[in-house]
Amino acid sequence: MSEITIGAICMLASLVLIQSGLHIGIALMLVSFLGVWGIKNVAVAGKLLASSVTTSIASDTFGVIPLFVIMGLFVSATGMGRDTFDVAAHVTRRLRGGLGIATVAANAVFAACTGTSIASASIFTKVAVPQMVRHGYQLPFAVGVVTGSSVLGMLIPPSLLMIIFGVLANTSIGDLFTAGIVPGIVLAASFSLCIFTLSIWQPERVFKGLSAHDRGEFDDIPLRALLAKVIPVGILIFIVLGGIYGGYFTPTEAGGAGAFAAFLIGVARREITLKIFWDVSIETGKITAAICFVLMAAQLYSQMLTLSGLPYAVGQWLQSANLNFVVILFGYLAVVVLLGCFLDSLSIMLIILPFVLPVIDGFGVNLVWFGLITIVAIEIGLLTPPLGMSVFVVKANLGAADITTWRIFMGTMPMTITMSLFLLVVVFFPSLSLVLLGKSWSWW
Amino acid sequence: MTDFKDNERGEGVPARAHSSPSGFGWLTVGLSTAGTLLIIAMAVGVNADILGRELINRPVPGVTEFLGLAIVAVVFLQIADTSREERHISNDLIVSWIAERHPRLAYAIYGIFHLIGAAMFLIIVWFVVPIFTENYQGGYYKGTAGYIQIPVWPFVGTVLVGAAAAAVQYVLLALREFGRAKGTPDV
Repeated sequence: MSEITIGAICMLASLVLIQSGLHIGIALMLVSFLGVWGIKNVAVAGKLLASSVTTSIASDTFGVIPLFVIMGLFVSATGMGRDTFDVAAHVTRRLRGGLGIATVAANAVFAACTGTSIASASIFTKVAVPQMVRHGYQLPFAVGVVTGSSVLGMLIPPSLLMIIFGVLANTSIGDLFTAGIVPGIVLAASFSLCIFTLSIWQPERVFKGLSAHDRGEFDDIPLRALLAKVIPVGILIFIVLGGIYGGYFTPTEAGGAGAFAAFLIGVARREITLKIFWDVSIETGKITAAICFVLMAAQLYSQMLTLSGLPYAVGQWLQSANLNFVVILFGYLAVVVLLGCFLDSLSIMLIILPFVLPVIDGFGVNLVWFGLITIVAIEIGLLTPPLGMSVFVVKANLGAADITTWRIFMGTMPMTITMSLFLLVVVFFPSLSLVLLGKSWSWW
Repeated sequence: MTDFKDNERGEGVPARAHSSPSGFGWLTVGLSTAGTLLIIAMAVGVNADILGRELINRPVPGVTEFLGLAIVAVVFLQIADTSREERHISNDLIVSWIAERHPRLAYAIYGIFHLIGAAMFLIIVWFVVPIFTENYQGGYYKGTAGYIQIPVWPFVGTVLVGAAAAAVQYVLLALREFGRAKGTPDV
């Protein structure tokens, strides 16, 4: 059996095993171990396995993963999520579809002080969905808005996904962060526009019954109370983003600094007790272990693929086929979206980037822009059936038996379509991502 | 980074362990507690470094090296407890579809998956032992000589202990699933 065949079999086997429900980390590790054994021998396989668990993530870049997780959890443990939503809902109260837009806005603000989308997805499922339903929104639509806008967390800095991309592609993490700002705002605006348009054009999709909408149903919140709700979040964002762009700490350190700031705010607001502090820390450990174990496995997996020569062969084939960049680019995006239907975002990057980075490099592509479109494409996959993972997270947090996964997918559909159009915009207008970096580059 | 099986949690407040630990469970909880303390140490380290550097011009030496070593230890200190609560990232759409129709078959499949997990962690232990002895006997460290030196072996040691505990944990989980497949009530 040739080495390339082994590589291909391993790839197929890993997909099958993951699909059948074996833990992703275990599946990738097992397949890679056996693969390297087949290509070389068991001693090499063991050595690579041991070094993947002991050294592959042993750097400060990966070391900050728990700090980003704990920052998100601290922020969630405070009432800042509800406060942000309240203020946004107050601002948009006279607008049709205002609560939906408020959810998007609150998510965007929240994204600027957390580095993952799990935190935002779980908190706004609890805060925004019940409010929207009470004000006459359809449950699937309300859930869809939360699911869709939670992807802002990965696009607006800080972002854990960008850190990992930066490591894999050897690109500046700071540049990636900066590049995400304008597209993040554009996406939030597109989501809002989509909600507003739908609530006027197809109100039956958005609201239960024709008459029900949320105009004027809110009590007036006095300015002082509004400020009290806004200021803590404002301070946190100021510290995190101000710290990064003021040069006080690096983007990777932002997780630690943000966690500390969120902790202090939570303590000052008497929302973080010793018990919550400990619970959050334990929870952080579990999430970190789950993420990092997959990371270790994926690194071994990509080493196995490299040894098999499969990525090289695919690269050669692509070159000999003389495909132009457009075909490769859109083929790549399609594969990423497809993978996003059944893998989580980290695994996708770890599995596909070893294949595509060498190929893409040959075209002199701007890697910051490339990272951005990769992240957007991954997040689209997480929203689409049959296995969009974001949808399952939201469903788990909703805990309601009265909504099927399929109806959540349908509710999310407008957001998914919006996001696909947004992906095209980011693909065709690299300047959107690069404008704040003062760079101009385009592939067409 | 999705699909952590976090079930019902209050707004923003993480869920506690689903089942109360017993026997071996206390070991995994002990390891996980050590991992939690390590995370707090990492957070404190980063902030001490930032504040020391920016306020009094005295960075804390070795924080970068510590973060790199500690993250590996955190993962393996937590891995057994993460397995115990079945919080690994997985995609069980197909098996849950089977579970609705043939629950016993699904239990058996889960049992086999857990055995595969146990085998994988045993393989890890087997191949990490030489790395541990190499680091221990060689006295290897991270950091700058004469400035700050962090020995590597304790961190590799946690990999061994954690992986061994995870293997045992997976065997226990497998036994439970096989018991369910046979239709006997949970022990």
